[in-house]
Amino acid sequence: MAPPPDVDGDLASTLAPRYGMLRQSLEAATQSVITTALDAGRVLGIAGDLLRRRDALGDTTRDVTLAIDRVEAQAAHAYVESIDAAAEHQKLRHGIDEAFEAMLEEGDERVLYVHAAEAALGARDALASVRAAMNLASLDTSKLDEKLALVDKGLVKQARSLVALNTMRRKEAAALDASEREAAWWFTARSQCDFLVSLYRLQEAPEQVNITQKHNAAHLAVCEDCQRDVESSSLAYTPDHIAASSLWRREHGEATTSEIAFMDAHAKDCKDCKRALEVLAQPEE
Amino acid sequence: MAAFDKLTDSELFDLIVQMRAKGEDPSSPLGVMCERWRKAAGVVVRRVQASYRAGSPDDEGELYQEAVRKLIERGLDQFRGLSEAHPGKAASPKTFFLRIVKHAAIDAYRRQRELLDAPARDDDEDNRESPRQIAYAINLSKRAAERDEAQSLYWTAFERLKSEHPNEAGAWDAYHHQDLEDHEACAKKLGITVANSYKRVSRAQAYLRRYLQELTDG
Repeated sequence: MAPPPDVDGDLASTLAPRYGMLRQSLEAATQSVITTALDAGRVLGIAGDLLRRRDALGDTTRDVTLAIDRVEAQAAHAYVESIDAAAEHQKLRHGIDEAFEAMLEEGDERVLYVHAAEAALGARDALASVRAAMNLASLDTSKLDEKLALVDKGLVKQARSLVALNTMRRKEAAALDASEREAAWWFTARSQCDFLVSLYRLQEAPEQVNITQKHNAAHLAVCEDCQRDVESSSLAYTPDHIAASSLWRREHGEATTSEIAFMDAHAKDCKDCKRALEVLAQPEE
Repeated sequence: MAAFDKLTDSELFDLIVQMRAKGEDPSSPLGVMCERWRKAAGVVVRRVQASYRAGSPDDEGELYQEAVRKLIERGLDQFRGLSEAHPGKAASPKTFFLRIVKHAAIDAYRRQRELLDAPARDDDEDNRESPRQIAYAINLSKRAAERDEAQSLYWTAFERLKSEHPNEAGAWDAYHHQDLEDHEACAKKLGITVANSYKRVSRAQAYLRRYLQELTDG
């Protein structure tokens, strides 16, 4: 189980207006029996939202159970059937890219990227809420689980690109019940790794990652994910000279056009690398 | 041994690959195969030595051993991969081995030159290296070798940058690959402002870091 997120401020007062409105929407939407896929998705999403945040909102089980009872099973299954997993995957992937852009931008552009990325995370969270509501209603979730696995495929590791949204993500994670947090990777994964922002962000000396600041150094000392990220991103520098492995790749037709262009440009001013290329051109037999 | 002598290079190579796949020890046929190429390997080493005006006859044996080690470690699988990727186009096993010899020799004499070029230490005491210093040097050399191998990741990441963010890739290429290393020159070459050059290069580095992290994830 994920540890409770480190969040500043009064969570209850932040949540109260938003979820108060949701409760009203749920009540209004379930005045009659739900028979269409679209309505079922909406109601199950809201019900699941409240259900997954019982610890923060107070016990919502009664309201949620009453609402879910109004959803016909066939409508719930039709909603699951209507989910385009590939499209949802793309939406989430795009959201992660937008979160990364938000980290590099300033001003209005940054705000736009943040909104778009938050919407994508919200859409993924809504699917988790639908699942929670279906589970409470004892409806079969195996089809939905298959689709959710496709939506998430390969994206969990990319959570590092969400660090620009960490303040919001920590709040969202804190609002979730403890048992829900680990599964909600879009809010929790790398949500403590603010250090990464300094690795990517435009700086006066971009080649110097600010790991000397106390809070960054302290995080880096204990976070293996960040240690790995620093190690792998340390390769993001143009080689000083032509690497031996580049010579090998060039001889076997595996070097990229950019790599070959770099080698040729570099060899113009570097005697040693020029000689290496000349020797490389010698036939073996 | 005599049975192996009758096989051609290609037949021996196939036999070695099959034995490895079955988990059997291929050292006997491998020994026969490499021994056939020892003389030719010596010719390759001497040619590289002549280009570098360095080395001694003793190096031939060492570099031959190094090449056999590299062939066993990675070369056998790599050659099979190349042959499958480019049927009919790949070199013969012998040429492939001699290429390994050539690269081992280039690498050795480049490193030797680096050492010669490094500033000499004048304090005699400094020249007596402690076990700790030796261990540190070995570790550094191992890491340098790993980084060298990892250069392919850098170029893969740069290809992705070119396709996803061509403007940033263009600025990065001008600034770093073409050695401009000056935003004014870079801006002039690309027809953009200096501020934009700075922004594009910085963004390029952020993307490259992200791509490299994802490549390392596997």
